[in-house]
Amino acid sequence: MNPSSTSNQTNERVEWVRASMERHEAELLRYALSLVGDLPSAEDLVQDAFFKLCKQEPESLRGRLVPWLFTVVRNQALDRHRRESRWPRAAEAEASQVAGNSPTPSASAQARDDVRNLMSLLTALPPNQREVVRLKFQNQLSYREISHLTRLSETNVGFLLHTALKTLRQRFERLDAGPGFSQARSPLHPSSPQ
Amino acid sequence: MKSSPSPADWTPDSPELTAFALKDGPFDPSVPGWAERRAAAEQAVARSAPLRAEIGEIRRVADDVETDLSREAIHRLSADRREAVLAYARNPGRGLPRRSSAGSSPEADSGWHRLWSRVTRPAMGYSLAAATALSIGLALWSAWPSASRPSPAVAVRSGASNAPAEASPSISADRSTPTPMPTSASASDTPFIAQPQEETLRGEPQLAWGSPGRLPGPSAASTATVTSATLATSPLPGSPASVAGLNQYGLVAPVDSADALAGPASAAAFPTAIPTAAPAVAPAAAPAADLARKSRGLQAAPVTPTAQAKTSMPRPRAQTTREIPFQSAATAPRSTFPLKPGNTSYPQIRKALQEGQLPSPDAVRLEELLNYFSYDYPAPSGSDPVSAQVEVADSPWSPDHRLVKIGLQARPAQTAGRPRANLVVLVGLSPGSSARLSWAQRSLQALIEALDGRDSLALLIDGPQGRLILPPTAAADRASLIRGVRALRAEGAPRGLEGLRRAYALADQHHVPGGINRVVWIVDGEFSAEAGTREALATLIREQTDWGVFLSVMGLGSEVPPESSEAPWMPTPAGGAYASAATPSEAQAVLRRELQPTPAAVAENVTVDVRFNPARVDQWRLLSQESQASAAAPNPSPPHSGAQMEAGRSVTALYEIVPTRATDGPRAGSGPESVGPSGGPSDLLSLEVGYRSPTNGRPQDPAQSSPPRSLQVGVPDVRRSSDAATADYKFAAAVVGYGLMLRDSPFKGDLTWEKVQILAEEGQGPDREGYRAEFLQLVRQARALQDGAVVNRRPKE
Repeated sequence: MNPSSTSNQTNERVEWVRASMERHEAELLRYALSLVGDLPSAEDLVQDAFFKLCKQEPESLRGRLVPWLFTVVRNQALDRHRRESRWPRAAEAEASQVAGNSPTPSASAQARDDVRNLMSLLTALPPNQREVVRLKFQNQLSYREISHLTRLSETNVGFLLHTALKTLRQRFERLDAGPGFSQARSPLHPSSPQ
Repeated sequence: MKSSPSPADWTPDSPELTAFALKDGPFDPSVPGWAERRAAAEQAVARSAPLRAEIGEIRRVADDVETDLSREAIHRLSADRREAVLAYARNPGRGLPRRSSAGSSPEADSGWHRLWSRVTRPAMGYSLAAATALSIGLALWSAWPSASRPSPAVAVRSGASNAPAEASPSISADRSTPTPMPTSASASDTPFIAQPQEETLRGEPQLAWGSPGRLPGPSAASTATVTSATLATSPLPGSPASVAGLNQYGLVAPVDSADALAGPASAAAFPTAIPTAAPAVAPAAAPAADLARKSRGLQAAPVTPTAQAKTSMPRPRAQTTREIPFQSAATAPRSTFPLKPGNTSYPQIRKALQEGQLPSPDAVRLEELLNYFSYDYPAPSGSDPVSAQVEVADSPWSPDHRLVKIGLQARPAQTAGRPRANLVVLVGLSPGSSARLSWAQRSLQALIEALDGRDSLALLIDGPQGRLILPPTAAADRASLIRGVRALRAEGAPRGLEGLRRAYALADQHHVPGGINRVVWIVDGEFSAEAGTREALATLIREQTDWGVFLSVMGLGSEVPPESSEAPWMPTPAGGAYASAATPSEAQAVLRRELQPTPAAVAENVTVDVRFNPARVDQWRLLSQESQASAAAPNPSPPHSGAQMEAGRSVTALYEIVPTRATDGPRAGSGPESVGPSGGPSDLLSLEVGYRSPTNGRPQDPAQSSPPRSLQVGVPDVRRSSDAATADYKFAAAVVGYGLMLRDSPFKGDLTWEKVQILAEEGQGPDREGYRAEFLQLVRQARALQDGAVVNRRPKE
């Protein structure tokens, strides 16, 4: 192998990693954040995943780059959790954010209330449902991909999604019902100031 | 799902029903046998109203969830983290590196524990996060990988997504406490923000797209058997990496080069880690994208009835829009009106009122209000593709004036004999718009279901490395089309011109003579063509339209300019259609309307020429906002030439006329005037609609092209109280009168809210779709607001 072909390969790898980062870092960060609950930790997970990517042959990941990246992030998060028993933090952190500002009567406030509402509703779901909902509706993974990633059966994934949607729907409806409004807004913080 | 119950046994609570509604799991078109399962499920669902209702609910909630999740802050790795990764990529032989984030405190065990309470908020204060993401995005813009560099193609969705063996922890043991993202200084110092790359990127766009002459170009027939693997891994020739993401966040926003250069600076303006900052939530990160909650709580926004694609009428944004004033018939006897007015004004007004506010007068555009509604016009008879109906009565607000309502109606679509369609869909969505991508996907799936086996569809992604997802493929091979749709991604940084060139090239290559040849361009509000390319874009669209390949532009999301004229990059596509959709349901409806029946032009080069008879008309005015291509121009050059009228479309215009003094037309009975040949000296005006028969394909040489034809209508002057007019006329007058009241127009004469309300009530007609009843409600709301009364917001249901 002559030096120039080596340097070509290096360039190709760097470009591949760079492109992969640009494409996927945002979705991975969202996912990682939902797992660990704080951004620096999420960044660590994602950065580590890309470090690992540097050691992979592009050919070997052909067709499964994204599931691979998600899996690396997930496994690292799980591992940290095992070591530190911090897994549930994400839920609490999500909830803590919900109890933030009081709304103002503008449309943007309405919009962000909506987001916060959803976050609070999501937070109230069991972690496995929450994760599956995110993977399906935020990361656009299919049942099959989620099943590979979480090592749950496809049937199980379908059941979790079904249950989660059902719950969310009931809570949306309660949310829209008007009275009991502030309570529905923030199930984990029924008395939080709104 | 081996032991899943058969669809006949489904209940609304069956998880299988959810999978079916989401078209996933066993109903994922990439899973063998899905077609049979789907057919069985469809049968069961067709028999059961509760199942159908449940499916609607599931999809609605799924849309909402998706939309809300898509509004979550987007984060990116900091520049020095990225650089550390790239540095390692250059020499990965050694062990995994320590992370680049400096200044951290050690002790991994306590770090996390403290961190989450001390440092963070997962979504990190939406505004900060958005600002951060945006500024990093800007910074990264200039570092976008050189388009011309080869890199390995990697694609996803092969199904082989096994967990990597290497996905193990090893490196986290000695991990130091994560720290705030690096300072802005390091971001701006980062070496990879390099100009040369940007030049490469901008200088040789065609490399990214492959040259049109080297398209893969399999024929529609041969591509009918394209396999999933081919789809997933077929980058364009000459195109660089084809890294099909499972998701869509590549770049935050395409920006003009000036902004790109400002990237590092603006990154510096936003410190990226503010651990203790309160989560100030700003709309930037949660663009009030769709009104998901509103559509649930308030009401589903009814979508535009029937017709109008929206184009033309260029209008400066955020400037006062003026109504067209009266013109003298002696000096300006001719007028015209746009065939495709926009359709955004009415939804804007509705939204404002629902929020308890009066709309800004600039949001009120008379011609758009008028054309938001459909009116009952007779279908053309005989060989005419277009019919005209004119109704004259005294103006409800200035009884000395006449109000002339002109309606044009195109022949309805003949679904049976529809020519073959050759559709090329170009998707240029910015990253972070996963919800919008999924609306687009769902709508495209609906489109596919409506295609004939003979039709063909191609899918392209307009991104930094534009990719061909699906070469033109016969619709008979539905599985391939669906796989293609599922493989669509929002890759960011749409290039516009190159993407469109590429799409046109594909459409050209598979041109169906005499068929429907159309490019469908899906964008979102973050798209903006680079300034230098706008002219070229306009030229390209014009040329292609002349060539018989039409363009439909579909803007998704509420940030999308509601009208093509408000998107500075968007040249008004003559012969094309521009539609915007602010919510998922609107997106589906718009796509369904725009695409599903693939409206074939029934007339091309349509021109509308209204000539006022100076003997009967002293002054006239078109009830419309002024535009550059304004009818106010005394002698409009070929008015709206090149516009086509698509099957089933109609358009309505209202003129207010000040008759000459001596004129006191004969009293007339009720009903619209029948249309006869023009030219009578007692006519108020004459209307001439010129057109050519559609070629729906490449124009033949001029000698052979169809001769221009025209429809001529003379409109006699009549005096008739508006009380005696038809319901449609009254309703049209009510709608425009509503606009005049909201604008507090100087032309409103003695109009009152009460009069508007009466006109609207009397003009209700059959109102099969309920739009007119909703309008009446908006009249009451606006009236109450303007009268200073307190209007309760409509309670959420």
